[in-house]
Amino acid sequence: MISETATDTGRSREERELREELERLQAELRRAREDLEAAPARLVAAREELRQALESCRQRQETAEARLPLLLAEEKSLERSCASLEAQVKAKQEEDKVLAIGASRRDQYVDWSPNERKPLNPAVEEFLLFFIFALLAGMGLAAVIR
Amino acid sequence: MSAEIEDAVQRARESLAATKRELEALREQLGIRQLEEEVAASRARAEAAERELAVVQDRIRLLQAREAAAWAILKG
Repeated sequence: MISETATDTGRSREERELREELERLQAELRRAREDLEAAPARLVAAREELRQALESCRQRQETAEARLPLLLAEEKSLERSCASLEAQVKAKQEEDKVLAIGASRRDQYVDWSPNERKPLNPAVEEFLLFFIFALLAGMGLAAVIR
Repeated sequence: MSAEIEDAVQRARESLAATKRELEALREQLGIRQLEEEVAASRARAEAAERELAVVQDRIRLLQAREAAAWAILKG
């Protein structure tokens, strides 16, 4: 008796599961059939959309490929311009450096200007005066002796 | 009763598979799959060309900055 009841319970559970699966399949089938009914119009629209997407991608590619040579030419021109300007900057910096050295040396001779005689070292001046005096004295002495 | 339900389940499965096959055939007939593949390939090519363009544009921006800096130095 107990065994029969257990078998019945197992069978009814199996049947319930089968019914549930059947319901699920029928619902899925209903959706698939609806999908199929709407498919021609939907697929035609999808095809049109895909064609437009394809055209848009082609245009994007063409635009990019057409712009590339122009941009490469612009890049080359900018490279030349940069090289020239940077050479000028380098030359200017060299010139500024030389001018700065010149200015610092000029500051050491505040009273000196290119048109004035450069003052002699006092020791050299003394020696020259002594030498001229000695020469004149020697010449005078020689004249007296003669 | 259970056998009847099993039969119904089997028939529903077969109908579903047939419907799906029919839908797939329709897609094939309209060339949807082929178009999808073409769009994907075309999009990849367009994106590659745009990436290349972007790289050159970055280099140009860098050169323009160098040029502006050099001008600024020269003009004092």
